[in-house]
Amino acid sequence: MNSIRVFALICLAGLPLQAVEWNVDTQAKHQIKFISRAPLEEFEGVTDYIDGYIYWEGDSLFGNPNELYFEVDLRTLDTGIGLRNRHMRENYLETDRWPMAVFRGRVSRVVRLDTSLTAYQATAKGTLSIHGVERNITIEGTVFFPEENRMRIQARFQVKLPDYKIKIPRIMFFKLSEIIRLELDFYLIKVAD
Amino acid sequence: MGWHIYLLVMILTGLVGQATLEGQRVRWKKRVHKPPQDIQLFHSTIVANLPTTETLRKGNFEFIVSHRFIPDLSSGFDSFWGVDGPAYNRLSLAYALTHQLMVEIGRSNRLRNIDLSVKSKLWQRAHPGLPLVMGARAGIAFSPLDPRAYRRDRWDVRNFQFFGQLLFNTLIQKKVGIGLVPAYLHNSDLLGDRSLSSVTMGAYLQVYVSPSWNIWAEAAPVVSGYRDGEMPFTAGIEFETGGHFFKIFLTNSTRLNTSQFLAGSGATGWDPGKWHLGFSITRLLRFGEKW
Repeated sequence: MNSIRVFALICLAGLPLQAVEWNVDTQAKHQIKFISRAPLEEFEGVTDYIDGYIYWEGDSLFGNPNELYFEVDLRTLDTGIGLRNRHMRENYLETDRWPMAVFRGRVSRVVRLDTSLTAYQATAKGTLSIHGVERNITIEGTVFFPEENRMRIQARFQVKLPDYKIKIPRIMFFKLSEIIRLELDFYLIKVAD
Repeated sequence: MGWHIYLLVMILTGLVGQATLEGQRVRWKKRVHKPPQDIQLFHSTIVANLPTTETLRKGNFEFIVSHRFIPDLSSGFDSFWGVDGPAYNRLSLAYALTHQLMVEIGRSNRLRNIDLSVKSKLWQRAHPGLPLVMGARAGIAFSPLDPRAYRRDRWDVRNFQFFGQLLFNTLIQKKVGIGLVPAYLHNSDLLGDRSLSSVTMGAYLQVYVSPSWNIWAEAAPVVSGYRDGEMPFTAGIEFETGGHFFKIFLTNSTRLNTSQFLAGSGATGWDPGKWHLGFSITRLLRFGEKW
């Protein structure tokens, strides 16, 4: 009888909880934007290339354990001026060596924003890797569910260029701010079980 | 003894099973992605008068205000070397239909000339030492002349001009941009009675001192056909501030629209005192973004 109990426990331990996975929707229109300020004016770069996933186990939203992985192709950033794109890629981001900005982490906190169960405030902790430098970061974002199997994430945060060993570009005689503001707006779809 | 072996086997089986699930749990696959290889050699879409192969990003607008002060440098300090005016000006607005195709409309107060043009990148070759981009620009110009002054109907066919330009650009050592712009202009003698044409071999050189400023010069000699005055020549400096370009320059020509300067500068001789100050300001605009 004891051996049957042990066997059952072992079998249950070997079974995973319900796994949920969402992948970045490759067909959706995303917007990943950085904004840089200079004394004369600000300029921005935009791309729609983001890829990655969210994975968690359990029934609750971002249940434990959970895992986030997102990557943005920095080679696709567009500032609106062709040669400036090239300068940015070659002289500052060095995308030949480090083409991707990568965030790996986990959701540490989720708070429901309304009673409709369609909007949540989430906090993610993890590492952001840019220009070959990996640093710990905490990102606040808003998670929406516009449709049953569709998730939208919006997040805004800042990075300091020196933290990632990126030179601070000059515009005319003025240096850009060392703080770059990042704004993300992207969509994920639920992976079928 | 048998019971312990049985338990050990079951634990190992469970652990192996769990490890396998962990390794395979995320089904996401990295996308195979090749970023667009659009070669960008020059900062701006135009030097002073001659176009580069550069186009705008899809959906962007470009607004340009240009001035050529009519009083020349010999007017001296009293008219601030011509800056007190009057001036010929050109206002233009361009829009990018795709990353490689843009349309532009512009108007100059010189002979009320309006032009509509399209420009496209046609071919590009990536090379670390000698990248090449080829493009083309074609357009129509219309000068609604005053019928009383010019004795022709405002919509007379002689008030229309047509032009085509081939654009060849390269950038040496990522610092020295070179452009060749062979061009054809139909009805180049706008005010004449006969329909003449001109073939021009435009060329420019742009030296990027830093990502935000450069010096440049351009010339557009008429090599065949009708020519009005000396070869247009312009040299100056360009600053970029993020969304603006500022160009300040000296020129022997006060003609701004393509169908006007392709026929010559109108200037006689190369006396430095007969040169003019000019400037242009370019603003890149984006509308309709989500943020």
